[in-house]
This record gives sequence, structure tokens and C-alpha cells, in this order.
Amino acid sequence: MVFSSQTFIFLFLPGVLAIYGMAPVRWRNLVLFVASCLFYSWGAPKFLFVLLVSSAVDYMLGHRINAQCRSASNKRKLLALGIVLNVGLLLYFKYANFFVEQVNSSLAIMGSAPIKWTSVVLPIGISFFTFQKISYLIDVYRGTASPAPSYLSYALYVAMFPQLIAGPIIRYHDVARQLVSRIHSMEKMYSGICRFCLGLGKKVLIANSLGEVADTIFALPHSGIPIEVAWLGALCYSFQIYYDFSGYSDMAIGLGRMFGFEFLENFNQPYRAKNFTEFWQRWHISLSNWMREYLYIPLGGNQKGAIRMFVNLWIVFLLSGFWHGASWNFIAWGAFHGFFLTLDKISSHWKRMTLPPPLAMSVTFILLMLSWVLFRSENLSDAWYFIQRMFMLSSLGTALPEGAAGTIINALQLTMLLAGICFSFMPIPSSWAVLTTGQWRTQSNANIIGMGATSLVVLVVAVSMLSTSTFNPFIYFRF
Amino acid sequence: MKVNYYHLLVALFFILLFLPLVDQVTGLLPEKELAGVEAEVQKPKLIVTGWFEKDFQQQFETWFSAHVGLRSWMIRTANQINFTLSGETPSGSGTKVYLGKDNYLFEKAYVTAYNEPGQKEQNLLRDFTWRLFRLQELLEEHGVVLLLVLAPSKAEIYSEYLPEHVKTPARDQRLSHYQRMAPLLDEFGIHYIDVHKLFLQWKEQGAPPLFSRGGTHWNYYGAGRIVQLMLADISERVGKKFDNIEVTSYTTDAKPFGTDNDLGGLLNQWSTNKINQGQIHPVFQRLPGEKRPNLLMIGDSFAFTLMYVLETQNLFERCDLMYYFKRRFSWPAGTDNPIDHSKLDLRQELLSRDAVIIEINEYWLPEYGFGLLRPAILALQASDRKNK
Repeated sequence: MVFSSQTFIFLFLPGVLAIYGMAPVRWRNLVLFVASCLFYSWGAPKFLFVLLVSSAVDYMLGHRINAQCRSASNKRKLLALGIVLNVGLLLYFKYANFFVEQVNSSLAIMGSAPIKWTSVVLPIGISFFTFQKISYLIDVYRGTASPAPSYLSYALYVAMFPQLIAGPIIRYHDVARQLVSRIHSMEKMYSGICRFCLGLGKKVLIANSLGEVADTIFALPHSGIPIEVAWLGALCYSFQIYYDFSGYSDMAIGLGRMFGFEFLENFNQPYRAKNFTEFWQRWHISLSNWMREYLYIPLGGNQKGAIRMFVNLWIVFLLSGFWHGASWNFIAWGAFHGFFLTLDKISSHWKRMTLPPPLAMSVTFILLMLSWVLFRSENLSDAWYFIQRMFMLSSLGTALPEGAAGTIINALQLTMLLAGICFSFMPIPSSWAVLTTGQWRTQSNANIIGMGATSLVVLVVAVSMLSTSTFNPFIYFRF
Repeated sequence: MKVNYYHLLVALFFILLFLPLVDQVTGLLPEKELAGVEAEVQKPKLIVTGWFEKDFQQQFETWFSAHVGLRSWMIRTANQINFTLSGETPSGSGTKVYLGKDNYLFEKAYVTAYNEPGQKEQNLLRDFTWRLFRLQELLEEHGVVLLLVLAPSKAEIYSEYLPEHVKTPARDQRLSHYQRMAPLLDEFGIHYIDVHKLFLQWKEQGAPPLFSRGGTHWNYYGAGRIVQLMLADISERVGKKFDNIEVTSYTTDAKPFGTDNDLGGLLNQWSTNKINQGQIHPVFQRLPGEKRPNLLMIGDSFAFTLMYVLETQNLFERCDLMYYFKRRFSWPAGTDNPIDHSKLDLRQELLSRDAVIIEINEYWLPEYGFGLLRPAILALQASDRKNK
């Protein structure tokens, strides 16, 4: 079940909110946990067991790690065991098919028979909840958080439906206290509703519209794509992925607030970044935080010399690329970012290459567009072909049928593209910061009513748009 | 004070969230039925294997989306926004509609066909035409008339109203199936009414619109004039004077009915006032004959408009429409059933008629009869051999 579905909006969400609101405070975590299990098993019924059992193992390990009587070496071993188990699950479910495919390709080259292998189905959200589970174990090991007071509390942290499938990745120490006790208020509910509605609008109105254009263009035979169409495809996909992902994060943060939680922000106008370092401070912030805190710093960060810092950066970004998906595209995407981050570090070290901010922003955005081509294409050769067409590095093959380019984007999609560009690049007025902070009591009544009304209008339009995706009538029945 | 605003907006959110469910259960709010044909979705039964295979979840989501309360409200709102801004219906598996100039609507499938050349091999076109000729010959041996009615596409007749962005510039150099088949029909001596040619002629002579703004099919005025020609042709060739009509004039109003606004209706918007303007409705004068014919028509959706004129003007004794040769609509019985080909006595069906009319829109060429030709020829040849 996705947030942008009628089943979620008109059945699951009202049902859960009603039961949660009526339940005594001490039962609310249970209500939320049961709802989260239902939510997860709706999309991955066979994997709920994996999620719950692996969480039980983490829970026990957390308590053992925390036991006062254990030696530091034992604690480290228990932590290592926990990490190995969780990473092992991720490797098996997400990467086993990829590895076997690579081995079979090598075997084929050598003329050997391939390994017989039944493809493993990927449990939804495993990349996200695995990182959360590791965060718990490390936080407990480091003593930055106490072990969860109950299995229910820990399982809720892992499985909480607002952030279960697509993040934000929540570090345990950020929500540990909220899992035990949290404040519910009308202001928070209001703030959550606004955030959820606007996130839904970003996803349904902008991302879905631009997704149709991007899908059309990336599905064209690459050799026939004119340069302007190739750039349009890259542009639409760049905004599709941003509004899709940030919209989902907004919905998650909004839903969290409805249930009394405060999750950290995940996006902050990333396309306004003037370099790749800044981009990663604005894009998927929860992943950057996680990578920095649990991988980059433990590897030594920038404290062990320049060369080691670059090596660490590359490790982080190659792994980050691989975390996004099990294919060479994603590794190349990670390497692309690693390369430009390295350049950032070098240029900031020498302090010679400073472009004017608008130019730096434009150059960074164009490079990001190229990186999204790597991310979106089916494989590396497709991506390379597409990028060649963007720069006319390959000759135009069989051209598209005449007039075809004119039908790729319609006026509505163009409007959404322009809206997407505006909201991505224009400086956000300071009064809008309240959407992030949720501190509505500092706002005027006009702002409160204005934002509430806007959110509800966006909700109505977005759910209306959703309804058409399942309504495809024919003028007459044929038979 | 602010707390009250929070309460108000939170309450409105909850109302919006719960209203569709409440409406689904109680049917509290009036909903105008949506136009168009949708596949029926059954409510799934919850069984353990269905849950673990995710079949239940997928089927439930489909069912819920198709039955959620206020669905028609939501769809009309979205369609109004979509069509106002983009001039297109949302992409999907159903019938897609373009908004042309002067509020003329066009079905995408016909626009695509308008732009593309007819790509079927010439041998295939000849083969279909030969079969048609053979059936005509066999029927004539038994005194039954075969008449082919070639219905035109709105995109071909009123191409000047097509939105510019959907037109292919090199379109004029292409040869359509219609352009390739008309000479073959002449060569084989097929009796046919070339409505494509007639409509272009009538249009040039200043006839009123032959397709309405919001319809994909010929309007009742255009269909009425074709019915007149059909019955005149059949009368002449059968040698009996059948009842007929003459389209003497027409009225103009803003009250579409039936197929007048089939595309407009399919838009499922809150308002289609602009599209409804300028509806042409025929005024008939009856031309009494000696009797009314017994007809069999095999055709596509354009046949329904012909049938409407034939039925409302009481122009047949009996008539069956075999829709795509898959369903049978019978008059005066008023029945509608799927055709069971294994039980169909084609010889009896064909030879009990005064005339067999094969109607086909140029979009479907060369599928004359939609699968009728071969079995009909075989049925007539087999029984003829037996009788000899």
C-alpha cells in the first residue's frame, strides 16, 4: 500500500487515526504497531515474519550489548553479530540476484555452466529498515541511547508505517524518547495534516505528471531522440525523482506528526545547492546523516589525512550508490557523486575555483541531471547512449515520427514542470519555514487559515487526480 | 482563538477523509453515473493464500477504487482540470480524447489512424475484397442483396478541426487503407456506399455538420441521409419498393442525445456546455413503399446510429445487428445476446433476409464483417453443394 492510493487515504488512514485517537494512551503504541504490521503485510505479506523475527533478535542483542557485566570485547562481538545479521539479510534479499548474475556472466565467458538460482524477491523497505536496525544496535553500543524498554517499542521503531517503506531513515537516538512518551496536540495534528497534503500534492500532481513525460522519453529508441527531447527527459526525471521522494518524505513527516512523532527533515531544496557537498546536505538528509555517523566517521572521516579522507568518501558513495539499487547503474551513479565530491574537497582546499552562486547552482544542477540519467536508465549502455544524445556526441539514427516530439508534453505537464522548477529554485520565504518546524502558534490566523485551506484544496485535487488512474472507460464495449 | 482554527481545519480534513467511506456505505450524497464502459470489478474474497500471494490486496485495491464513495465527483473534478489545462483526457487504457479547434472532440485512435499510412499488404487487401465479392455473388444467387457501407472517420472529414500538435506534417503523402481499398471495391464490382466520399462532397456543397462536436460517430442527420441511400439501393436491387425516408431539413439546438455527445459524455466533466452547441438533428419525411425489409447488419459502433434511424422511423420488418460479429441485437424483439458461433446457422441467417448490410468504419479496413466472410462463404458453398 502506498500513501498515494485511495485505499490508504480513504480506508487505512481514517481507520487508524480513529482507532488511535480513541485508544487509551498506553495502548497507542500497540495500535500503531498493529496498523504498521497490517500496512507492511499488505505489500509484503511473506516478509512480515522476517521483519518481526529479525527485530526480536536485534532487541535481544541490544539488551545484551547494554548489560553492564559484559566486557568491551564481548560487546563489540555482539554488535558485530547484529550488524552481520542485518547486513546479511540485506545482502541476501537485495543483492544475491545481482551477484549471481555477475558470476554467471563470468562463467559464461569462461564457457562454464551457470549457477542454478531462483531469483530472490526483494522485501519492500528492507534498505531503509536495515539501516534503522543497525542504527539501534550502534546507538546502544555507543551508549547514545538506552535499549528499547520493550519489544513493542523497538518493533514500532522499525516498522512504524509512516517511514517504513521509503524513509526518512530515523536514527534510534532521535526517536527513542518519543517511542515512550510523546506529545499530541491540535497544533501538531494540524501541522501534520498540512505537511501530508502538500507531500501528496508534490507526489501526485508534480511527480506523477512529470513521470509520464520522462517515461515516454526514456522509452523512445535512444538513437532517434533529438537533443531537446533528451534534455527534456533528463529535466523531467530530475524533478520527478525530487518531488516523488521529497513528497513521500513530507507525507511521512506529516503522518508522524499526526501520531505525535517528530521526524527529522529529509530534503531542503537540494537543487539550490552550489556544489555536490551542499547537495548532499540538502538531499536525502537522513541517509547522509546515517552514512556520516555510522560509516564515514567510523572509517576515520577526515581525521586521518587527505588521502584517507578521499578513500573514505569514495567508499561511502560507492556503497551509497549500491544501497540505492543492485545494478551497475547505481554504482556508477555513486561513483559520479564521489568524483564530484572529491573535486569539491580539492577545490575548497585550494580555494581557487569559486563560481558566482547562480552559475555554480546551474553547473551543479546540470551535472545532477546527468547523474539522474545514470539512475533512470535501464543499464549503463542505455545511459551512455542517452547522455551522448544530450550532447549530440552520437549521430541521430532513425528520427522520431514527425510531430511525435510535439505530443510528448502537454500543457498540464508543462505547467507542472514550471511549478516544479519554481518551487525548487526560488528562495523559500521565511514564513514558510513553519512547514518544517511545525511551530504554528507563532503564525498569524491568516497564515494558519491560508495554509490549511491550501492544503485541503491540494488534497482534494490530488485525490481527484488519483481517481482517474483507475478510471479508463471505453466509449462502447466491443463485444 | 488559533486553537479554534486548528480545530476547524482538522475537522475539515477528517470530514474529507471519512466522507467517501461514509458515502460508499450509506449512499448519502447523490452521484451522477459516469459515462463510458468499464470492466466490471468483483469484490475479492479474503483467503489465506490470496493474502500471502498478494492477490487479495491487488484485487481489493482495484475494487475499492472502483467503488469508493464520491468517485464520480472526484473523477469529474480531475477530468475538468485535466481537460481544461491540457485539452486531453488522462492517458490510460480506455478511449482517449483530444480537444480540437472550435471545441470539436476527436478520439485518439482515429487521429492516429489519420496520420498513419495503411500498412496492410496489398495481397491481404485483395484477399478480403475477393471474399466480399464471393459472398455478394453467393447471396445474389439466392436473391439476397449485399450492401457494403464504408463509414468515414471524423478525423478524415473534419481534419481542419484537429489540434495542430497531433497532425503529422507529412500526412498528405500517405495512402490510407481506404484510399487503397476503394479502387479494389470498384475493380471487383462490390455494391457499396462510399460515405467517406459522399460526406466530403456534401461538406463541400455546404451541408450542415455531419459529425457533432462531441461525437465520434456520424450524427443523426448524416446517418439519416445514409439510411435513405441504403434503402433506395436495396429497393432497386431487390426489385421491391420498400418504405423509406427523406431527410428534408434539420434543426439546430444544444440538446445532444445518443451518439451526439458520446465523446463529450466520456469526458465526464462538470460542464460540457461549449461542446453541446450546434447539434444538428434531421427532419424526416416518410416515403411509403409496398413493404418493409428484413435486414441483417454486421457492423461496428457506427451501425448503432443507422439502427436508431431505421428503428425510430419504423423502416424494417425485422432487423438484427451483429455487432463486430460478436453480439446480436435483435429488433423488434429488443434482445441483446452474445453470438454462439458454434450454434449459428449462417445459411439460415443470411438467406432469410432481403438484404445483408456490412457496415465498416474505415478505421477497421479491411476487416469486412469482422470474421463473417469466411464462415459465411463456407456455409453457403457447403449447402449449395449439398443441394446440387
